[in-house]
Amino acid sequence: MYLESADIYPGMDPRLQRAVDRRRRGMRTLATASSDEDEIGVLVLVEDTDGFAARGGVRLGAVIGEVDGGWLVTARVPLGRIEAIRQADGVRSMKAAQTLRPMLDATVPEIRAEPAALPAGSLAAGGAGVLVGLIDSGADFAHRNFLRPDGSTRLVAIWDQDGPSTPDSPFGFGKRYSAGDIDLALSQTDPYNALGYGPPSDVPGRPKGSHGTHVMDIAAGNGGGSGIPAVAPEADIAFVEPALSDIAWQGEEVVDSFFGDSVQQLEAARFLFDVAGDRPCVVNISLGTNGGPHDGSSLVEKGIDALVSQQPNRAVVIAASNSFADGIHAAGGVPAGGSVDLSWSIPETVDSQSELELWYAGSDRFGLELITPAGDNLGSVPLGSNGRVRADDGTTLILVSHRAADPNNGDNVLGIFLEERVPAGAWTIRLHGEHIEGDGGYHAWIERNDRSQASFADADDSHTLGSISCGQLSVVVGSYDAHKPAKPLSFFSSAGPTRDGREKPEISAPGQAVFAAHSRTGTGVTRKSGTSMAAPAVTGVVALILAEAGARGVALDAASLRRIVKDSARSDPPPAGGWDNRYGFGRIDAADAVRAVQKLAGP
Amino acid sequence: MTPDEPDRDASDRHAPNREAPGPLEVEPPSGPGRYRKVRARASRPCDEELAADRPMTAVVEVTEPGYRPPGVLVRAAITDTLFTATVRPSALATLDEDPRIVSVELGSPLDQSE
Repeated sequence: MYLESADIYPGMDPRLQRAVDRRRRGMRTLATASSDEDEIGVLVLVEDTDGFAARGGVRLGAVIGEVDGGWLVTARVPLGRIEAIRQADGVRSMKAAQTLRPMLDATVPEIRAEPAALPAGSLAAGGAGVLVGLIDSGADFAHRNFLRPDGSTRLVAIWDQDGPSTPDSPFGFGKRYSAGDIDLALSQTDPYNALGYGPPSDVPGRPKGSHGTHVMDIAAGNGGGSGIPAVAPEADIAFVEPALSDIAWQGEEVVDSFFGDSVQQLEAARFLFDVAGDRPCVVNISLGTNGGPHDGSSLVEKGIDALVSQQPNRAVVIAASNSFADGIHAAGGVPAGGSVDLSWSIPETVDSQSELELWYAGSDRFGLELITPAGDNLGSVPLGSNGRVRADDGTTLILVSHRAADPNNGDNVLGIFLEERVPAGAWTIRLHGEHIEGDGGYHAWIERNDRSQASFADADDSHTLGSISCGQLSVVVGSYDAHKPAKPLSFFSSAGPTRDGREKPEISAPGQAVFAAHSRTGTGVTRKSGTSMAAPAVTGVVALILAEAGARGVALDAASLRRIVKDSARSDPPPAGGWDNRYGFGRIDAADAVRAVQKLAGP
Repeated sequence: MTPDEPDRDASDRHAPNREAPGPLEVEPPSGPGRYRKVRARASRPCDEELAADRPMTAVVEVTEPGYRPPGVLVRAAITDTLFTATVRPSALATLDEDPRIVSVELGSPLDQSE
């Protein structure tokens, strides 16, 4: 045996030297959640972040902060460029990233939900006795984070709204699976086939793992597989998979893109509270769209408010939405006798229909003209009428509906539908103030389109909450990045307030780069980001609140529960003493929330 | 898309052939939104659903506890005066005239907030 001299820059972190050596010997590194193939994550101390980021091959990650007069940053660099980058001017040191532990390990301490962080004498017991209900897609009941130590399921029910209907189907459709059904399936070689339900397998090029499994783990996983218990690891769980086949809206775009409809979602919430019976129950919803009145007047939102009002110890937690940076909201005022132009940008890549809704006071009357990107004025559509352009084949190319007096709030609403064949570019919506009694105010939203999102040229990033996130009694959750010392907001996390000026979201939680259960792996985790990942952290905390209250004989109505969540929120960030339109009243704090329950219960 | 961004469906599609539109033809309100008590997503034409009289999901609010109007298939009771239902477009005109109905809200598709 002898030592072979290696022509590798010796002043480098030994683990980076080893990585270079492995590459030279033809060994490839696999892509990870954060690094591409043949790329490596590094922690770098640099003199100038911009200069470092500008270097070829460097993918700058996070700027951690100022250290020893330099800047500590994370980055991904190609293995073939490590030595050059390490020796570049302004790079003081560079270390290979350590193996990351699953990041619920960061979420749970950050929101002070570890048992040790809870106040002395806490009876929250990991949410024992509380039912955590989830309305989401793809529950991996076989992941060990949802099994008891004896291997039996923690899920008391799954309702697959798309499953085969039976005489005892909830509300006449779909298939309900009991804990007994699930346990029987778990005893089989292929539990998913045995049950007739399971999360989809991963597809190359698509996000890894099912959304619902990830969300369920953040709220109530017990770490039996991943080793990292979540916020309410002792809670019971029930899951509703929204139907696709029951949707009236047809078309490839709908089937590909949507997860149930608003009515099925309300039925799902009804089902979950029925399963809970007299038990405390918190329901997590991470679904929504961009349109709607955004004033809590939809019957779905009123239905949710009613469900949590019917008996104490109930809550519904909803993700704020991820539309902050999408340019999907515009607002302004139309002067009496004057006009304003709203520019709606349809991208060249648009390959499906675009939709826009504009709401204004029922006491006002706007006129509307629609102008193409080429400057052709297609005409005006008076209040109380429709305007339509048909294609040669008779299908609707453009539809403008200008409705007076919505039945639920009395406001007027303009809806514009552009079929995908219309020209891309900047469409102009010219609003005329024909009769203005107030300030002529309006709010407009563009519907979500992941493949080619349209936007307003003069977008206003406030009021970007989801379509069902504006109810009176729901708890709506924004997202921040718990991995950075400053706990900055996630760039996508939608902003309030509601159109009628109420302060939502109420609270925020870690939702960026969250590692949680990866479906069909049994024990694995995967990383996802979104307010969908923030909402279940709050759902878990609400389970702890309800468990603490239940153990102390305190009944919490919806208003009291919301007050506890809001009043116990942490500031800095956001600034103390007020409401922020994205953080809400602050960052969720499990320890202080449980302490508030103890105080309420008295000695 | 990276895992630091919300999951979104970014699957490839072919861009359609563009078509220059002609002028808007103003017409009386059509679709479910023409009914005074019916809320539907304003920007959806619903042409196919209307032509086929295809059942649509809805939330219905009534004035009288327990009232179940004809022409709707009740699915789930939310409260005494609020329930989910399946409704055919052809039944909406009758519901609109029913004094015991406050409003009918048709379902709209939802997507994940992730």
